[in-house]
Amino acid sequence: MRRFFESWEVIIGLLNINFTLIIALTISFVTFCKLPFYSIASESKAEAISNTDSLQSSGSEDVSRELAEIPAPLEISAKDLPNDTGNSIVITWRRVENLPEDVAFTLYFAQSIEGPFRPLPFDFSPVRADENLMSENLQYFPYRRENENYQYIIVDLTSFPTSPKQEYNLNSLYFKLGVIKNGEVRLFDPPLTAKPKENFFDTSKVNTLVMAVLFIVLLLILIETAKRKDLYLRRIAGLDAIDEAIGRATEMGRPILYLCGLDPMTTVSTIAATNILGHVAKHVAKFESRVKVPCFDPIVMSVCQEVVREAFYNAGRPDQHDPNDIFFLTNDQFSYVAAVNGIMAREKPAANFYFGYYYAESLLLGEVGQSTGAIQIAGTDSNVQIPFFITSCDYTLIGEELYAASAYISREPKLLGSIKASDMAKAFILVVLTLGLLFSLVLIALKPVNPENTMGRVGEAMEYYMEMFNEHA
Amino acid sequence: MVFLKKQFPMIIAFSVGILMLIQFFIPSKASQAFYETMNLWIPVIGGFALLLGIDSVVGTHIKKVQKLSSGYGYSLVFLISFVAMSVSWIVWGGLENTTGPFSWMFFNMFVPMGATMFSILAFYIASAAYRSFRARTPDATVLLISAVIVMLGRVPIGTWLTSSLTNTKLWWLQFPEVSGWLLNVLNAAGFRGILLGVGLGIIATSVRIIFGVEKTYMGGME
Repeated sequence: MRRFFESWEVIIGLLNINFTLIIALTISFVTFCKLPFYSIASESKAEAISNTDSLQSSGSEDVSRELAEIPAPLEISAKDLPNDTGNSIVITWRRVENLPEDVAFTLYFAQSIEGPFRPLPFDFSPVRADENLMSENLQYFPYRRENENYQYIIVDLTSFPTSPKQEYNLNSLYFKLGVIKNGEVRLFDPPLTAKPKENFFDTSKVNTLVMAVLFIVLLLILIETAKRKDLYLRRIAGLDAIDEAIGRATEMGRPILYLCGLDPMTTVSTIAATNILGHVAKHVAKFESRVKVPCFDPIVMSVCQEVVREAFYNAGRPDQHDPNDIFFLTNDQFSYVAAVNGIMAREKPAANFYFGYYYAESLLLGEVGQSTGAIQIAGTDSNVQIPFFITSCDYTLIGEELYAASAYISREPKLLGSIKASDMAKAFILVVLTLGLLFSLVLIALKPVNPENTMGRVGEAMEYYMEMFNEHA
Repeated sequence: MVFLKKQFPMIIAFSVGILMLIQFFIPSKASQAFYETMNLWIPVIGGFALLLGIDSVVGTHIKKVQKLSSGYGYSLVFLISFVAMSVSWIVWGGLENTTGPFSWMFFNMFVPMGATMFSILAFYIASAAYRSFRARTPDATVLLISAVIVMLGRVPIGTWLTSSLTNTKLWWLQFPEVSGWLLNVLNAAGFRGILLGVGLGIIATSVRIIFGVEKTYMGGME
């Protein structure tokens, strides 16, 4: 009996040792598999079989079977990416129906048609079944209903590393489309190649070109018309109040504060602000008042100095001009606000003008200005700041009124013509929008009749029309 | 002299304006290189212009201190701060030297002062909202009602207040739904109208500048 127990313990002991060994070996094997060098070995093994429609397996047979069951996508092709600098190619294929959610398309490359095919040597996100539809990228693909059934991958060849150790011949690269799940890949034949071509006209911008040319021609015609004929311009209360504000400042013997916004001279709203400054400065010179222009940008300061100086000269009051009134403060947003608010609190200007582009500081400026009792006129095309100016200022020029201000104040026929052209363009946009709305309604109403191809070619043309006025970038 | 002051800038504005307009439609490498070169000029010119800016700001404050004009104390503070920051940057390095005096002054003085200015905005928003939302006119009443709905639609208490309407025929009367409709339909329509006008205004002003119709920005109004 005792022997029996002793031998039984020995057997159990041996079994324990074997069991521990089995577990240890399994853990070592699994860890080994996860090490990078094993991945390389696994990859190179996969490369050897990737010449044909192939499966790069690293273990799970279920996943391999699932990938093998996916039908190969049809109409796989590679071609030059249109409308680009000539650095990219595009791979397109027909969508695979009922592709499982966790399966995505990937792309492998090789330096010869025979392979070996490897993963792309830069960051690349696999494309899921509902991503990268050709119908959604109108910069590179013209609008067609059937494009909803095609997917694409753009390969920027400049993304391939160019270090001496990894030099690729970008003119002879081959690609294979594949499906990927849990790191396992199945590549599809045939190997694809295409040569990128430099494009000299961006066809996706034809609509912009046509509209721009039409608008410029209309503008030039109306500028010429305005020289011979009086053009009506609606009243803009904010601009009518400029004279009143300058007069008030003169009566009170206090200066006028004029800000050109926080954007640099490259922004059209800043140019518009300096244009208005010219007219304001001319009135200030006539009234023998004083205008102070604290600037956020040194280039804007230089322009403002010149504009104000010329305005005083043109008004016949060069002696009234003090160049120190146009000065640079800082180009840090809140330091600028602190400095301007300090000027408002100390010097109590009778009128504050805020023209140009503003950010979060708009309310800080407007509220402090209001607390000093100044008459305030603002004009900005920053639509998120307009409510703040409306709240804190006496008059606010909204959006386009900022650009019309220079013409409105000067009443120069040439400038008035351009305002008229903008108005006519707006009327045209209204017609375009109304047509778009009508087309949308018709398409929605008739969709139940033929959901797959509503109204056939006419419907497609309607959709094309609506897409033409969409942003394509 | 008149040519250099009037015609020459106009020639530059016209030729560069037209070239940039053409460049927009050409995606070729040469076109992109031209665009990048032109964009590179902006910071280069800006760098030189900054010297003008420093000259302007330092000059203004030195004059104030010299004349002992009102508020010259502030100018003195500015000049001391300017010298302290510049010297510490030149001698001990900028923000890359995390233990240097420049970093210390930047993070312990400059950043908190900027944050203080920004935080004042919260109080101004409250005072501005109080002024605008007083229901004195029909317009202001509409503004007040929509503002209350939008605010309630954005906070948890608004969702909770109308949560009983979920899964009923009146689900669309819940604050988040009404708030979303106000923002995405009425507000978005108004915003887009403004944006269209701004876009056309920008094109019109650009064309006026390119073709030399608008010259005020160059100082000439004739």
